[in-house]
Amino acid sequence: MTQEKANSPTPTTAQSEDLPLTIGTHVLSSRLILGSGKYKSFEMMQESVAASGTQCITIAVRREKLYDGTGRNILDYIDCQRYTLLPNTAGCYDAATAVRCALMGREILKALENPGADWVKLEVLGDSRSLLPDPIESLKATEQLVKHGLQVLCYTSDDPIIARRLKDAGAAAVMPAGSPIGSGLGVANPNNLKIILADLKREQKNYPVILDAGVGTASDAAIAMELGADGVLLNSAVARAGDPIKMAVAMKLAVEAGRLARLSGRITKSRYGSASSPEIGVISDRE
Amino acid sequence: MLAKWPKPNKTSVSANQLRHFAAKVCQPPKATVMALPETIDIVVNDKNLNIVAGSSVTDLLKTLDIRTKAIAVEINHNVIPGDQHAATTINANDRLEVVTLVGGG
Repeated sequence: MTQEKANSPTPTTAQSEDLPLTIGTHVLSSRLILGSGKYKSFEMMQESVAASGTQCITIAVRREKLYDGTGRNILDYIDCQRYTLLPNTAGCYDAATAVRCALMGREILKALENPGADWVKLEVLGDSRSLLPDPIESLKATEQLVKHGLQVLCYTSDDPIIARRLKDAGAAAVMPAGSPIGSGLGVANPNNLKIILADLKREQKNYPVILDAGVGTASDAAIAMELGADGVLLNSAVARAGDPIKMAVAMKLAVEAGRLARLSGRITKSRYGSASSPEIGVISDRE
Repeated sequence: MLAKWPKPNKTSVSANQLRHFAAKVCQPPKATVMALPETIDIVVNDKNLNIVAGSSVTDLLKTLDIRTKAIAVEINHNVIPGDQHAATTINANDRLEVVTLVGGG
């Protein structure tokens, strides 16, 4: 093999054979969905998003600051032709408010002619300290938004039963939290995530389950993908990293690595060792 | 235009001259008096506003100098689709939400 060939990145067969992430009617080239909040500057957000390789950016709906028409808008830093926006209902604590927020998000994205106008990241919180979701209000809001014709990507806790209820209510994707939003604790309960994945995919193999929230570093994203998540949604881990752009690249690689590892089929765990080199012919007098 | 004072080199000013001057100075201006437009009180994003009666959503956005396309408007909890902003009249005591997009996760 020539030096040139050895150094060139070669997409593996597994990578090229993998299906793209499909959520409802949306097909995404990257399995990483990146949030646009908490960056030190719009420029930093813009560069991090580009470095992450994502095709989908989450965004929040907030009151317009009246009498401030000269202020910079985040949309000046997002190419709406290139990225699909995923409006969220972050900060809502009841189904009614979340539904209003989602419907207003839809209007804004329609005005921008962005393909994200027909979906929403539903987030209905139950507690301002833990930022954990309110499962009952989330379910109510999912039912209502499905009736409004929106494709609902529902943020939820890692509880397998509520995850199933959300899927049954018509959610286009269920997005369990690895751990509280912004906590950086990673996948706190891998077993619950495994149960959710097994349960929701039992009769619908490609039903999308996205790990949303809690990712602190690259290995957290890789673990979620290795466990079988279809994608990872994160924000703080990149935005608040010492070097957000580098961390965005790390997350891109971690999601790809975790996905490839999942598709490759890992070895079974064993209590004891199993030598990789032949055990015979060793230059040793050891019996 | 203000009336001129009687010339200063005159030693005395007659009562008639003074009356003549006073009448000119005290005349009301000839500006046309316009009727003030009727206004209504509304609430936008929890702030009290007073706007011209009969304003549409589009008029309000102009008044507030909101130029971005990235806007959604809700009146009394009902979203007003963008293509109906011009045809939707705001009524007295309406509660509006005007929202846009910001960074979020």
